[in-house]
Amino acid sequence: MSAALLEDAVVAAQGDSRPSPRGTRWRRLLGFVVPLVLLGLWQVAVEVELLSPRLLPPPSVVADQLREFFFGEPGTLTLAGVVPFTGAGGDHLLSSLRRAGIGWLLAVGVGTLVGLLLGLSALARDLLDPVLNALRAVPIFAWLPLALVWFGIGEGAARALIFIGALWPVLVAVGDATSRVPRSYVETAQMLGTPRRWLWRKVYLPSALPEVVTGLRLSLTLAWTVVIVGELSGTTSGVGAMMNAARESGRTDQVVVGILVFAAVGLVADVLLRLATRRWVRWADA
Amino acid sequence: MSGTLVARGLGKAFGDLLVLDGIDLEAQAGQVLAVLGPSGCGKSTLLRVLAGFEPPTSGEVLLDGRPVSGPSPQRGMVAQSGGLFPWLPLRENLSFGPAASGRPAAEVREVVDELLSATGLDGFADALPKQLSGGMRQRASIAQVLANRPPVLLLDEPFGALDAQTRLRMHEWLLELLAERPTTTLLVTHDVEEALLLGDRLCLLSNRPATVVDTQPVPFGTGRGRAVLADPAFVQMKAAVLERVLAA
Repeated sequence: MSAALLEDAVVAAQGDSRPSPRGTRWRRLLGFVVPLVLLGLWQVAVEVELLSPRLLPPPSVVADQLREFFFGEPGTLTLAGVVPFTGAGGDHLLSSLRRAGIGWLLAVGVGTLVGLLLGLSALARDLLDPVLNALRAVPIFAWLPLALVWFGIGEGAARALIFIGALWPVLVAVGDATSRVPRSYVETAQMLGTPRRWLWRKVYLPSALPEVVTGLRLSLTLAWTVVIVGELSGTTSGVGAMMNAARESGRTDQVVVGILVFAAVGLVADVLLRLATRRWVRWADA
Repeated sequence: MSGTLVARGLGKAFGDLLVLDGIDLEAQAGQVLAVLGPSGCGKSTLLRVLAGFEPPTSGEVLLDGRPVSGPSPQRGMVAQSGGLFPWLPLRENLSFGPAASGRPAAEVREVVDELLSATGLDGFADALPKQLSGGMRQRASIAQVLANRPPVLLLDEPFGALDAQTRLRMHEWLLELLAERPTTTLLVTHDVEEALLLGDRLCLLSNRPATVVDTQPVPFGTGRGRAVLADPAFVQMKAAVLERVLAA
């Protein structure tokens, strides 16, 4: 390597060691301060009777119920059609997760395929765009009656709703991102000898990935949101089913437990997805 | 030695806009043909037609006497912005071509290792393109194309976006590289100094629609470097050619 090139290399290497603009690690902990403050205010508001505990039970009660939900001793008596609460947290969570997971994976598969078709073929775009845009505008609740008739009350309807809800962000992200892949990438790949049939895998998909990952995150959040709609369609398992039962018996504390579980799992799922996909989108980070 | 690229009566129009008008030129095997022309005269279009990215409206492109069309590893092209895929680490960018044509992995690795050292990028095999400097990116882009061992290299203002000092270093590097692996090269540029420094022959284009005004040999011999910049004959020729470009 000549001296000139070495100098060049040193300049580039230095560019790498700039301090991260995100600041030091402890700043990330700031995100936990707000929830803690809110929690304190909530407890105080109930204790000074600003809030009726029947409308919103204090954090201490909710914490008890949360423990009850996951670690309580389950009753020996189980009645058909009754949704258990005590000690049933793990089972409910697992069945919600499985529902959301299956619906989401199905949505990711179908969404990626149809999205690629739309992104790569102008003909497909002209044919399908209006229909898909119209279907996309239908609120998820509007599919509920049809889903119940088609798939029956319970598991099938829940999965179908989650699939529909989670489908659009993936489909739109893949379609948009692949249709906007710069021509120069495609030309370079062809000039380097990439056969036409491999362009989607070698160029379109990787180039579109950062936007697709955003779509995946949105879609995962939606899948997790729609779980509760699905579970209102008459399942007896799942966090949503527990919340529905709690509402019917006026147990606000247990409803709040459900909300907390949804929030926590949603957050964790998003973080996991981001970690899992970080390697693919590192190149697009600012 | 093979790799003679010939354009015969090459014409290109976009709708009513005639960009190339009957271009005849010949890049001789193993030589560098510098194509010089005023800004906006259609130099890039010429190169895109030669690379096969755009079909000509008239005329034909011949490689060793055979007509060619469509993009191909036989005619490696590097644009001003380079051709690196931003999502691939450098090593995978350089392997892209040979891997696409199904070369065995061991051979690909060997070719890429050799090019990494020829470009002074040995230590950067795992770096992403955005982590490289402009000069490194352009060297890597040229290496990416050379990995396919193309008989013809098409360069479209490859150093146009670099600062003057980096550009001069790139010129010397490219001369060295091409001396080691003779490749027919067609270099499109608006920079007279670059054309005289790198070219074995000079092809002068007119304003749009581009036609070939003149083709002449560049008399400064092989093995030239920055020393030639001070040669009075070089300075004189540079001034004369610049006049002709401005008058074209």
